[in-house]
Amino acid sequence: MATLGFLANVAERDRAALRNLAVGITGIVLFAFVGSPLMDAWDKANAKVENGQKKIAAIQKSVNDALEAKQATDQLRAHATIHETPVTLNRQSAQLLSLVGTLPGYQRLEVARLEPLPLRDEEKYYRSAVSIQFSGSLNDLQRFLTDAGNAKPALKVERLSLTADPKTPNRVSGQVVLAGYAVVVKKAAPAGRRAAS
Amino acid sequence: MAKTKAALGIEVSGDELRLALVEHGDQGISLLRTQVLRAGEDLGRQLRTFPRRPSAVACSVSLEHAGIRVLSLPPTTDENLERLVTLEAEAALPLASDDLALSHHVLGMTEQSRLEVTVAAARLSVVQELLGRVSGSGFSGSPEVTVTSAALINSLGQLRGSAREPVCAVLRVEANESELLVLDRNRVVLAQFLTYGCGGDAGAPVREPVLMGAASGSGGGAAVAEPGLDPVVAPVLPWVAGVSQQVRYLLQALSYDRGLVTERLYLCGEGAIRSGAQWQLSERLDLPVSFLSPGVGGGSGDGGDGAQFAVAFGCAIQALGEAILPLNLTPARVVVEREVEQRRQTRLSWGALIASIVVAGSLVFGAMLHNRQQALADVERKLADLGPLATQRSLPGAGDPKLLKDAAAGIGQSLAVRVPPAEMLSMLSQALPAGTWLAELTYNSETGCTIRGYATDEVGPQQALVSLLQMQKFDDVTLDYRTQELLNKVPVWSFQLSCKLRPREVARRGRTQR
Repeated sequence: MATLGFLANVAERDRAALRNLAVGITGIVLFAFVGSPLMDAWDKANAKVENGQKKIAAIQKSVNDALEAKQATDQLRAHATIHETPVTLNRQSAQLLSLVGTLPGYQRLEVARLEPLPLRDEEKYYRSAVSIQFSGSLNDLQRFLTDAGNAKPALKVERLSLTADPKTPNRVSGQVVLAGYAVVVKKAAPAGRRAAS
Repeated sequence: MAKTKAALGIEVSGDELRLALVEHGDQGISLLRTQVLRAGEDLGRQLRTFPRRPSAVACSVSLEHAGIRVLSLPPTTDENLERLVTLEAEAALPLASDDLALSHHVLGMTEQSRLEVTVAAARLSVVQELLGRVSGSGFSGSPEVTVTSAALINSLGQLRGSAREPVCAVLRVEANESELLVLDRNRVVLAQFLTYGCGGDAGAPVREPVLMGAASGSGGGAAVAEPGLDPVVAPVLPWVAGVSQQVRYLLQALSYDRGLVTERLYLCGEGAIRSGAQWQLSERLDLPVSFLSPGVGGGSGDGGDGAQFAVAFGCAIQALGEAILPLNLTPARVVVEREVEQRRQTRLSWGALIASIVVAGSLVFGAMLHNRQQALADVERKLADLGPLATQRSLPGAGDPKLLKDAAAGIGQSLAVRVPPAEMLSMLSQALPAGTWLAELTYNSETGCTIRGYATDEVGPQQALVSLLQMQKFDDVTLDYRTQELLNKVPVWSFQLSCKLRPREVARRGRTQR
């Protein structure tokens, strides 16, 4: 209190000015040593929370994407052959020939020639085809075509040409082009894709 | 719309307080409410029940502790006037100026060039005690203190105005005291305190006030009912004799001294509400007696029901600033002290408010920070729970779902065939009539098919055409040609049918148009 004794001799107006000065300095000190660190702490906490929430959202998105991808893959499996990488795409034609060969109606036909056609890149998927020269009865042909329509992965009859035997009207011979589909889950760079096609 | 102002007048009479709340608005001055507070009742609490909160307050000191007089002074400046008044008061009163609360009001100059000043004085201790009693009830300003005589003059001026007689008297009768005031216009001729009141009449009949909040019945006098008198005649009030005798002496002395004849007596105070007081006084004094009673709306109550609030009403008039004789005994020092105290309290209130805001803000900020830290802890816990997934961008073996969906859609679109080949062969076996057979067939999943065949009958191809059209599987079926030939020396009709499928977009558009 002795140090503040000099205030007794100070005029009221000067005392008010000193008081205002003390209030101002106190405010500045409080802001510098209390307010500012608190604001920094607030900003840091906010940034950390936002960062963490972004991470959680990214994880949720990746999990959702994976689930959606799995569902889409399951749906696709009924229509196309799924290849993990473009490397295995080379086996698509062989797999198609194998698939056609396992169709029950295929065994009833007399196949003169069976040859794969080149793989075509359709942007979103790949299409492989096989050409079959055959002969047999109309019933056998129809059964084969029905089996091809019900095959899994799906097969599509793109073209069919047949000629009836003049001597045996029930017997036909001709050519059928069957197409199958393939999808690569993880596509390589465009150059790699061109090489595969 | 003009701003209205409300003021409260307080008369201290013994242990009770008489309150009159007055409003000055568009319609002039009107009395809003009157109330009597007994000893022990809280003034601040009662004020909260009032219809308006008064912005100014004035209270009165009885003539027992004060005096009022008209001084004739030589003309002087305003600065000297106060000094002169103080000297005159010291000469006239047996008290030092430090013990006196003084107030004066200049009436004007006389024909003899003397300055007439109404001076009121009271003991400072009494004024301070009164201020202490009234203060602390939530008033914002400093209450004014005046003399009951000045309050009566103000009340009379407000209620009677110019209609009153030039020379008249006001008699205020209370339980233990009375006060006689004689006025020559606005000039106080006589202000006399009488020790005789109406309190001796215990049980005397009291008219219940109609307009007032609570009429006082305390100190009522004894009824002196005379047997055999007509019941319509009010009983004789014994205090009237004593009071009227003193009033008569004083008025006669005034008449002898100054030649002033009092034309009317105005009666107010607790004695005025006693039944029969008016006519008994009138009879004994041989003077017309009227009630000085403020009524609702500022008019006078002819029945005298509000006569006990005449002083409080006059105080309220002074607090409103509408008094014809404004005398404020509140010492300037007390006003300054109160203002300083009020300023200190205001500063303290602001300080407390700011401190509470700072504390509240700090608490809110602390709570927000705590919530944020809690949220951060939750997020970190979730991330820890997710474990290895948190470090991977995607699950193993999963492709881009959008690409896979696009691929599925593209393959589905490509697989969609309007007429499958197996179905087409079945259709042909049904459509070709007997005697008609297939020779060649060319099928394309996108464009349709071309059929070449033979018929033993000329109408066979047409029947096949009609059948295919009826099946409505193809967009267009045409018979390209039909020619007669020899096949193995047998005459037959060769023909060609074209079954066309339009491209998907064209077919869809055509169906929509249809």
